[in-house]
Amino acid sequence: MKPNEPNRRKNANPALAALAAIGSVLAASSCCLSTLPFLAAGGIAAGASFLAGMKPYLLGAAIALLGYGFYQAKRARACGRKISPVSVILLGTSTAFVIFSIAFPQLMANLAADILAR
Amino acid sequence: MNMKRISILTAVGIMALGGFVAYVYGGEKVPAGQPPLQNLNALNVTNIAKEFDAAKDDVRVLLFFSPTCPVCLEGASSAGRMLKAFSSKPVRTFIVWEPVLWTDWSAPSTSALGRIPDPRAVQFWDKGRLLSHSMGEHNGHGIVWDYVAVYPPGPVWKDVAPPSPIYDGGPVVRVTDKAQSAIQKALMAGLSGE
Repeated sequence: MKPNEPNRRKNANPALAALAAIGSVLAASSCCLSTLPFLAAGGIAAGASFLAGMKPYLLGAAIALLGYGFYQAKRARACGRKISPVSVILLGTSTAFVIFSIAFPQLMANLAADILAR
Repeated sequence: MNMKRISILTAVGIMALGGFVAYVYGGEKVPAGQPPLQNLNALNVTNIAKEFDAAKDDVRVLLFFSPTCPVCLEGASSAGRMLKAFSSKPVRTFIVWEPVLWTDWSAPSTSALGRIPDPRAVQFWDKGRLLSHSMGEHNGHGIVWDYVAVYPPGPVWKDVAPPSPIYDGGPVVRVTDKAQSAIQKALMAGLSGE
């Protein structure tokens, strides 16, 4: 094992991938959230069509990030490293969240609309 | 905790959320007093024109929304509140839900339909965006969505497209005040027989 290898492995955290997946889904489901500053700058209509077009890619990115998270967890386990409970919970929650977002987009949109209306 | 436990936790989470969705958002029920959600297709797309023309003595409001766009849903709620102000006035509303976003693969849910509770409203699911096409959409450009149009008493549907509105605009949540003023003006015009 090379001297710097443990550090490299330490940086490989499935929790980060899980959080990034949630971020992708939030961006995808927000579709036309006017609250985002860059959308406000670009105008509602432009922002809506931009994120509407990006939606499939963002969801794809979320799935890829989750896959990466599971890969990291599996690799850590294969190396005999213990995965932190936080990482496990985040990975499980993110997976449920991503699947839920894809399977029930109307619920996500309704929740986002209710949050926006407050 | 191992991968097996992760899988179990994930499965339990999905089942719990799925149950919640089925319980709260299940079905495509319209609010009390409204006719059932009508699915528009090439054979019955004229139904909306017939209903629109049948209400030609009233002020008519036409709304277009995507069921998974949060801003559209916020606009629908805003329109619902606006229409409450005209609950005793001759105002008829036609709401067209259509697939615009990648996630619009199913008809609007009960939750979305419930955002406009006006019992005089009629709601449609235009899966093929037939109305949007008849109003100018071409090759995916110029989609009519998150849009409101106000029509005074009198004009009827022209061939495949609605008549010229006295006001139209969007996103609905941003133009509700203007639409409300237009409805008020149209009601006044109707009373004075203009």
